[in-house]
Amino acid sequence: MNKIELVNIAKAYEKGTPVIEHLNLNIKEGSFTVLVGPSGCGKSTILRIIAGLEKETSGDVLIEGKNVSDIAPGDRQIAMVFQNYALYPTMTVRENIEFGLKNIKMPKAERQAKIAEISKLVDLEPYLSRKPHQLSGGQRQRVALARAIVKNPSVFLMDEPLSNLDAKLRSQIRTDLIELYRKLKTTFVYVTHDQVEAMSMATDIILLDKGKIQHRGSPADIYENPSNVFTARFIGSPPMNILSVEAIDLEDRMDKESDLIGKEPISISSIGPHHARYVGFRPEHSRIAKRCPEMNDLSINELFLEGIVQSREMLGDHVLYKVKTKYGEVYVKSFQLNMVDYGACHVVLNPKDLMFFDGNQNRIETDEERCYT
Amino acid sequence: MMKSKEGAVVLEQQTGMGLRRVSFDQIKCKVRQYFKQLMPYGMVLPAMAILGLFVLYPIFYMIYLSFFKWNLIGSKAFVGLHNFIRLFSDKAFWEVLGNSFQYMFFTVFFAIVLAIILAVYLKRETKANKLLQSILFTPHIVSLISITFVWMWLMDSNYGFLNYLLSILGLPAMGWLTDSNTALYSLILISVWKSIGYNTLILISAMQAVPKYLYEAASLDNATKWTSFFKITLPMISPTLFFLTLMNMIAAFKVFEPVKIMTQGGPMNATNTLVYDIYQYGFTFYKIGYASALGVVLMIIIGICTILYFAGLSHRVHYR
Repeated sequence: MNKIELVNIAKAYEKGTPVIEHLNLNIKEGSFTVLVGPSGCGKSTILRIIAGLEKETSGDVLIEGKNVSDIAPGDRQIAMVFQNYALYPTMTVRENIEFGLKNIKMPKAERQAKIAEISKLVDLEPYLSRKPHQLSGGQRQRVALARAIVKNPSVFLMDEPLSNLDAKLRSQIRTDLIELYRKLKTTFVYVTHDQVEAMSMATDIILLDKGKIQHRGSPADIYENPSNVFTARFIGSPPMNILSVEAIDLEDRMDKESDLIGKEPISISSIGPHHARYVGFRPEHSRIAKRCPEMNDLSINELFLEGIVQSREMLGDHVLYKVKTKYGEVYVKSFQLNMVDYGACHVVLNPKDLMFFDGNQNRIETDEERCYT
Repeated sequence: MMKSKEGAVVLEQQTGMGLRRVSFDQIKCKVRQYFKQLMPYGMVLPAMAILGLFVLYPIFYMIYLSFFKWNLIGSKAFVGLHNFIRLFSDKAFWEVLGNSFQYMFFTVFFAIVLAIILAVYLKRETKANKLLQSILFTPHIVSLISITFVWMWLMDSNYGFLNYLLSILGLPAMGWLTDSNTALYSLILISVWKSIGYNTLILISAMQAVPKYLYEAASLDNATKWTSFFKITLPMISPTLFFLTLMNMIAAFKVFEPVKIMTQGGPMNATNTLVYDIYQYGFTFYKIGYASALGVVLMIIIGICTILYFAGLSHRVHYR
């Protein structure tokens, strides 16, 4: 069942081009939906439209099937965690959490019981009488969460709630949020520009660019089957290597000895669909070899790409290489920890890991058995 | 030999030069050290000298004079606390003090409350609001003397514009400045009118500095506009409010020009305030000692008020 539906939403600010045009989007009941995209893609605007903080220029917002376009933010059964937490600086932690309850005239005894319960849940008990400026970033974050949870909303909206925290705390709160989501069993809508946050927490990812949905699906789906070049390059770290097929084939035709060869010289277009314009592979799906691998070393269908190691980063469990090839720079994530020296090398690929995209950068879905066998 | 001798001489000279250089360096170092230590004092010296000459010296001289009887010409006669004793036993002084407090209270109250209301109304940045802001601010940049003359004409009991308005409305004419019951309030009216523009401007900028997301959070927390104002806006602008109130208070205690020009403290002492009283004793009656004693009292009152105000309210002010 859909919890939130956006129907034909458009949003334009007074001057300038529209941020969002004709957006249709639905968020499933009980899902942890992450809206992810580069800055300026309209993800925060969408969240603010759902919250009612921003008025849509046209279209309808439905929450539980009910049009809420004319309903005040406070009456939409939602709670929001802001990027900078938006705690009331003049109030103590307790007053911050209590503010929303006071405004709906909840009796004092009930209020206190709720605050006690919530502050225990988020470990804020010792800090209830402190002011926000006396708290650390992580504690403030928890106050913002408590303020949202205490209202018992049916939807949680979160606008980049982790971006003001340091990396360590961020990963810790990420797991806390997953636990919280499992405990509360309500709908979460989460906005971020960080694909790691999206991948780690979401049940549903909606990838946006320039106000348009680029891909939506589960984290596994978006990683394995990106529907276009943008998605392929946005998800995964480092991003997917994308090379122009034309450049490769052009080179191919010029001298018969192709660089991307198997046991026999082959051209990319003979592996992929004929209308493919771009070919991509993930850094973690490639290997690096110092010398041109002996034909015997290659497993049956492997291809290789000649290049020069530009940089290498030892990252503990893997080594990241930047390799300059004739067709552009590619990244190789190698789990073999004995590092390959700078200089000439070969990037080894398996053709089944290649993804093809057409001239509009959209994915060409190929059968499991590619033309090349 | 020659070479070695020459070498030795050079070496000696070098050592000599070296030694001399070391001792010279030491002196230079010492001087630099002193200079470094004295530098900050040197930097603040001009400001301190001006402060001492034009602020501290007059204050101490005033305190000194308050123990003397002096008419500016003859010699000063030490009278101890006589001036203060006379002052506190004078009924007129208590009247003047009462006027000053009344004037201060109403001026500050209206100048602040009305400014808050206006600021809430004008804080949205539209062209009309900007124009209104500038209009509201104008009284602040016009000299108080010229304002006072305009108001004198407006408040004239026979030909004044205000009474003309009252007569149009069918109301009886008022003795704005000539009635001892209304004269002080007329002065308060002018003072509020003059300071409200400045107060509003300062409050508008304070209100505009309150982050928007707090109001968004409040709207998600079901807060009404009223609640948002009292729970968010007011606490957030409290430092500005605190400062403005204090400044207005002190300014009100020191009111002089309108009193001097419009009412000369009358009718029947109704508008006589502390500063005007000091002026009268000092420059009309030439009782410099007595005037100085009044000045000391005024200074102490302002000091006490400021301290009380700080002690009573500062814990409610939210500084970020």
